[in-house]
Amino acid sequence: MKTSPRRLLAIGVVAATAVALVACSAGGGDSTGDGGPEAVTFWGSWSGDQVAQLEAQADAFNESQDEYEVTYVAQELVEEKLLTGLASGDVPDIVLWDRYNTPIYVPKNALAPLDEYIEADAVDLGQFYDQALSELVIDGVTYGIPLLVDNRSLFFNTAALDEAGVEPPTTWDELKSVAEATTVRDGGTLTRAGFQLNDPGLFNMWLAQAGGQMYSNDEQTTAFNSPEGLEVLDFWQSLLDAGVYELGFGEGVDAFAEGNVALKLDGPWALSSLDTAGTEFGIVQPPAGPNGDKGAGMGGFGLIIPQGAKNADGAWEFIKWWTTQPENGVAFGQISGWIPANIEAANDPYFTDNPRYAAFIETLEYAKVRSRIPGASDVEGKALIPQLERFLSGEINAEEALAEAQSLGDQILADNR
Amino acid sequence: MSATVAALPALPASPAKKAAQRRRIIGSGFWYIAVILVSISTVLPLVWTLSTSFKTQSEALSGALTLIPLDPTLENYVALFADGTFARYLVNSFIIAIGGTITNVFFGSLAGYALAKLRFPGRGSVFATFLASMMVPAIVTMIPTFLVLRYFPLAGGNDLFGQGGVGMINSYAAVLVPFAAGAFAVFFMKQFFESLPDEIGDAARIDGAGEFRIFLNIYFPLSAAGAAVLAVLTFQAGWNSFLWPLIALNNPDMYTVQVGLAAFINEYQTAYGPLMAGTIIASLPVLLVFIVAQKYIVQNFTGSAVK
Amino acid sequence: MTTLTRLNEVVRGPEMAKQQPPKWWRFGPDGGAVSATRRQQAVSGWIFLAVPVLLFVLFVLIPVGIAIVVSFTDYAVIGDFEWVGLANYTRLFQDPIFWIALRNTAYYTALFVPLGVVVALGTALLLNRRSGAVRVFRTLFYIPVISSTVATASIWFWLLNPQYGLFNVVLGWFGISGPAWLYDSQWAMIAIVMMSVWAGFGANMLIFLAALQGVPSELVEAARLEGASSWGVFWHVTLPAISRTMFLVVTLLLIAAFQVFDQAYVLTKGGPGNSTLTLVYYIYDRGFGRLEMGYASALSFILFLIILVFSLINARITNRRDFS
Repeated sequence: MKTSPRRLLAIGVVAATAVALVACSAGGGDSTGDGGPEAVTFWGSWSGDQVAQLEAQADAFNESQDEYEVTYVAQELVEEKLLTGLASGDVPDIVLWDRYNTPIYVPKNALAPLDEYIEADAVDLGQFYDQALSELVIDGVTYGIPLLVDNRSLFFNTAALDEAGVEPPTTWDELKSVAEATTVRDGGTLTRAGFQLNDPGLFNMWLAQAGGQMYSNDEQTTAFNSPEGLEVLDFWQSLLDAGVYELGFGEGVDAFAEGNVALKLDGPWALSSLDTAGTEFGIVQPPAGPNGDKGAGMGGFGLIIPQGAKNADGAWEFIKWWTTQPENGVAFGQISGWIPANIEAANDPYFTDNPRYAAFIETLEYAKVRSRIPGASDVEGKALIPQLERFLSGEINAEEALAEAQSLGDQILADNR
Repeated sequence: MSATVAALPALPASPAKKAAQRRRIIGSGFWYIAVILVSISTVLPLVWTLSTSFKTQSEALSGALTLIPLDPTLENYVALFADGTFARYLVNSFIIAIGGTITNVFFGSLAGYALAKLRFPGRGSVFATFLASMMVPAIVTMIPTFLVLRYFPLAGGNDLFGQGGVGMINSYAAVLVPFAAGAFAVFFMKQFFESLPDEIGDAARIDGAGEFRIFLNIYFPLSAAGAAVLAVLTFQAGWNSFLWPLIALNNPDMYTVQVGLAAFINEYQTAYGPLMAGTIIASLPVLLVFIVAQKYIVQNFTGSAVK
Repeated sequence: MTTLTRLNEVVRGPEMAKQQPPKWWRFGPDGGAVSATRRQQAVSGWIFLAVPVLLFVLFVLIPVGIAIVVSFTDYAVIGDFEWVGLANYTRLFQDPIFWIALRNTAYYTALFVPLGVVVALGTALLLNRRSGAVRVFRTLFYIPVISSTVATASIWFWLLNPQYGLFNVVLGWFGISGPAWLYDSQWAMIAIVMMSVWAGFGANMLIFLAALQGVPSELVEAARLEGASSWGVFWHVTLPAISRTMFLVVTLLLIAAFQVFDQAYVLTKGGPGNSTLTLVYYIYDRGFGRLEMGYASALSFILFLIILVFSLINARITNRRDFS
């Protein structure tokens, strides 16, 4: 009688531990179909409406063959999630990868080299825009295949410009005057912004337009704290002073699609939601700077296979299907508005005959990818952009912003050498 | 009280009394204004969220401060549950919150009882250590706890040395086990048991009852009120927890409702309607539990703090 | 005579109680039936404590130890790692982002703690009266506490939208053009403070309410009779009487303030302009964003020390006080 409650207790403790252990195996299991197509897990940071676009593309692949089945999973901050996935042993098979991040994650052994696959299937890497490809090659090893290219060009709301009787701008001065002409205020409140100056991350393209450069030629220090850099910020300030934009205007919604923004710099991904909204718009190249220099940034995505992916073969098949068969790249462009990185696909009549893509394709001629100097993305992300955000909030002035960004940026470059 | 004054026969109210009365009424008036203003500030955001969750996208963005939607719609809720992931998040959260509640109430009561009622060497230092552990900021232990779970021997494919597999990461165990019997639960129940008389247990002991018997049949039922409050608090804490599930759970299938909800915010284009709908759904269980148990919680807070 | 000896007499009768206790009862301090039950209690005690103690060792003690050790390495979970001695700590002090994070956290604390105390105490004073209505309002005031930080954040994300949010629309009625809140590097942290105070004051209000019950009413009346104004009564009678609780609340708020994370992560991801990059956010970013776990552990320890200092200061101040 004395022992049985105690035995009960001991049993209870054992039972509870058993439950915990069972829960651990029940929660983490993943399914691999036996007999059916092999699962290929596809991660990316695209969310919201874009999820459907990727799912449609995955479905097209799944229907085209029976061996593999690709499923897309949206992951916020997918690069960081990949690292935690590596730490916890749960990596996807293929990732929609922002090419710009490659130099950070390759040293962490996050990406699997693809050279063996490329050689085995005799893939000609020349079929891709070489700027795009270069972002994925570190020390001669290829870590991904370029998938999509983009740049930011100037969108304009046709109705707004017609209303004001102005033509789409081609230079900074014209940009300012068009923005002023198309800004609408109701009493004191801004109801239509002439130009949506909400992305300080585009500073590098403005800097190129001003004739400046981000880094010194020897790649040892930053070079954006220069007369050209100040010219950019002074221009931004003049736009703010002219009242064509207010901080926070149109955030969290698609203000351009709603007709509340007359001009904005954006990429091909915006096309599909504009079509849904039925807005009348046009696209021209980004404006040229005061000295006539043109500048644009090329960005975009690639497809990579993480280290330790369970189904690397399936992932590679999907990569080949999407990137080396031009018709599939074009198909995705039709769904999403994105331009494929495969040159042949990008020059398909669907794009070249379409007035909306004309400006993008023209800009692609001179668009440059961002620097691959070690630490460059931290320089932009931790040093430059925060200071520019403070500048746009009115917290600090242009000189202070660039000076702080420079000192922090130089330190980051030094730490990364 | 003014009623008593009015009931006094004959004597007319003196000017001083009248003035005092007026002051009281004005004071009362100001008091009501103040508490109503505060109440509006605490309740209005939630009401507005509820209202927005039933509005169409265009009405929500129209800038109108309508609390009753002009054109109420369930489309936000439908969109939320359309692909089944949000439902999955709810299930995960329930499992974790309820599991945590059961383990904490049971083990916390057991341990709290031991510290309160049983005499044995070392109980003082055990209690002191538990108390001290409550002061360690969570972030200090999070990274190493992640590593402990990752390299736990014989779990999730690990060998005896904890290598090779994934340990307990990315499973319900990762969220349940570390917090299954927290120091707070032990501390809380100890306080309750201490207020119960020793004699009953001693008498039962004389009669030859075993310790677990004494706990289960005598003291635990007596602590039902305390256990209930602990259950409610633990459920709320489990349901609302965010940082640890964010760290320990990587597979979207395992996400809790808080982690899932956080992912809706800060998108390039936030769909406010479904976000508000998701917020309401994510808040419903704790709200319901609170309404049912609020008397006990609020009482308990004021009660124990007085000591 | 202990209860047990008395019970012994009652149960077994005075005659039998005087007899020598049976052999299986050893001698205790009063010769009563002690030791066997003592052993039984000791064993049961440790069994009952087994699970919490085990979990404590596994998930508090060992992790703290690991944290200390890892902070002296460059551990990154994947790949090789090595002992780096104090390198993480020296890097920390030279890391401008660390100082930004520290400054942001201090700024948050400096705003959050006083505001939190004032609002909690103010509402407690408001509700410190006998009235049926008080219970209703007490519940209403407490409601924000039960929402999760994420739910609160999403509600405030909507409230603070620069164009459609409640705040700026109402400000617009008064002709004020509200700031861009979460998109403005000068207002983002303030927005987060407001949100945190709103979400948390209910709990501290209850603590203050309980303390206010303990203010001696004779003193209040005496002060009133001497002609003290309401403010005078508050300052000279009430406040000193609740000083111990005041320090308790201040410490709780301080400890919470230094660990602010959820709001910064969910709403602003540390921006804009790094203005909401708090210490815990930075630790999370380094540890789980870049897998620099060694560095992140070093950062956690510095945070721990900061919190410890404040807790010790508080403990000394409260201990110095004379309380009955």
